[in-house]
Amino acid sequence: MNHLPDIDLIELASGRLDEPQRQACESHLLHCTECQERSGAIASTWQRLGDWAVEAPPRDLSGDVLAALGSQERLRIGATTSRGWNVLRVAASVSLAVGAGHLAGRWMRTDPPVVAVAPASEDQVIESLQLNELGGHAAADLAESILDGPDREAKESEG
Amino acid sequence: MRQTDVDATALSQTRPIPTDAELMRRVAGGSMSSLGELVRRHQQRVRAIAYRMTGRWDAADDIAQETFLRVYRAAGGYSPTASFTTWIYRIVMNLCLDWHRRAGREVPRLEATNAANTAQEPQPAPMETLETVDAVQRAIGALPERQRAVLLLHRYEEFSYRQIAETTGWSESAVESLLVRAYAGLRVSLAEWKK
Repeated sequence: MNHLPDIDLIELASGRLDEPQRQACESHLLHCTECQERSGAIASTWQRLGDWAVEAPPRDLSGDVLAALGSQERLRIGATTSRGWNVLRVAASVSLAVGAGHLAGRWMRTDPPVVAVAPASEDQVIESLQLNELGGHAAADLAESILDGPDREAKESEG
Repeated sequence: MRQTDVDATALSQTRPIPTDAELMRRVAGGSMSSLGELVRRHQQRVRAIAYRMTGRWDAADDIAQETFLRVYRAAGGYSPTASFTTWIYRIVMNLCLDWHRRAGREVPRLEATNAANTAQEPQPAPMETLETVDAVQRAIGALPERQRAVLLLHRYEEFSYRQIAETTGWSESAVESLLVRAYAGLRVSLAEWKK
């Protein structure tokens, strides 16, 4: 006599056999004591496992998930912005060097009384390099940085 | 009932509830509210299965959160050919198995919060209930990881062994074998406890 495979008895205990399979199993069990014992043992185990009921403590993770995504996005933007500022500083330095060279050349070519060119003001730097598009204090800060040049760190270290 | 209440009721009745696949499509398009809805729909089951796998609510919540973060990241490539439930369970189970590999083999201990929630029916004595639950949890926790995974999906998530195969990516024959061995091992463990 062919006996019922364990997987069929497991599915029978769980109630997941389709109707034809269930009827075939139960028909076999009527005449097979060995399978009856195995089926009983599996069904008992199935029932015992049901004692372990789990109810998750109330908690809504949606806020945590969205907050975590927001933090990751801010980190990504921060890294991108830092790289962008460095590019802007290099571009501003190049523009200033070109502009300063142009001014120096004009000064040298002028014959009659030389008019000393006053040091560029912060506003003049902002306008010439079109830093005003940065908005807020960024333009003023960058202009100040450019004007101070290598002496900036020395000034800051003096406190 | 005011006219506005009637209108709101009628509107809610005619507005279809979006399927998981539709919500995923919206998440792929950047809808964070749709992601929130997916979280609220599935978080309890995800947390519960993660708890059964790890034995700890803090680990379960961490795994659940990471699961939904991965759902978000994968939304652009999600294809509704497989059910969303199957797909998300695959993520959860992989994270749980990773957690076990990092934590080392450890039988999950019964936590006090779980003990307070286990009495679904009148029992002869509270201590006996706790001991029974403890025995079941220990027996399941002592199973090898893959047997535990298929056992939990089968017994507590009502997956057929074919659904388990689809979720885990293991073959049906492998799942069948794991399930049979899991039940056999549990039968022995629980019979020894009764003695």
